[in-house]
Amino acid sequence: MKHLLSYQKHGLFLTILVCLLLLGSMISICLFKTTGTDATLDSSPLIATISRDGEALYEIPLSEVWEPYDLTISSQEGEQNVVHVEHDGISMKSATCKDKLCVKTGKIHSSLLPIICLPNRVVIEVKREPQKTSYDSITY
Amino acid sequence: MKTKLVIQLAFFTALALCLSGLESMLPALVPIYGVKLGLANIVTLMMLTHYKPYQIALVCLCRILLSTLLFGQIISLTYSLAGGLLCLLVCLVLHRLLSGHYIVLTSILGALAHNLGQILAAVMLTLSPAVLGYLPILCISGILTGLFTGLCTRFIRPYLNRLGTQA
Repeated sequence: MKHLLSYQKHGLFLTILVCLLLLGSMISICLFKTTGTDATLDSSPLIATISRDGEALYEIPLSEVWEPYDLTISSQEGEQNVVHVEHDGISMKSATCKDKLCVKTGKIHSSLLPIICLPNRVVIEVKREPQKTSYDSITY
Repeated sequence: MKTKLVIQLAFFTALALCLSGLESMLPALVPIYGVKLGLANIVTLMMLTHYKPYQIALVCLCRILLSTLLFGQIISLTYSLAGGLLCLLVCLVLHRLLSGHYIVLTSILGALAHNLGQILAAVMLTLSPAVLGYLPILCISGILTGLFTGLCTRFIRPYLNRLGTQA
């Protein structure tokens, strides 16, 4: 390492940093993916939380929804988001924002990624409620 | 400030605005916030060798304000400012640290800083840490788009040197 100039050392260090970041994000995405799909096997109820400005507006147990319905969230500033609630997932049907990225995100049914509408500051999350009896087995 | 310098800075601002305009016309490839090419950053990177930090900051600030007015919504100003200024800071520091070499590396880390700034602004605005779930995806997209803009700058820079744009 002695023959390297100072900027070359910095460059080497930063390249390693970038590689580690790339590897780290790939691993975390893979981990997220597997935990997200595994969750469909267990039967604990799905809870969807809709919040705006960090304040929870609705908490819907999706497992108890048998008839799909729409939910309109409007703010005082005239922003409007229509949420489509179904038994196996939740999606954004329409929004008054410009880019409509929240609508394009589609239906979510795991905690992998939330639906976010940044212009209207609305976040929809889905979580599995941990079951009350969390023991695998009891031995005496 | 000399007239020549004012004109040059205005030219770079206009160029950056054109690039953001072009980018806003491209359809979003992935329906995720923050995944975009960041073509306007090419201008910032191009200016690094010949201009002083305050001049680059001026161009960057003007570009962000004007592009938000022209192509975006007012609320997105917060995200753009947080991302743009953090990116600028990282680019300036790295350019000094690497004494002007490895422009692609500077670009990649700048893009990563931009995405990080945007995510932090989003967490502050929505007050929900769930937004942080996008961090790995934005990390990868930052590295790829940074690579692209960095390579663009690397191929453009020789021509800029030939023009002799010393302020």
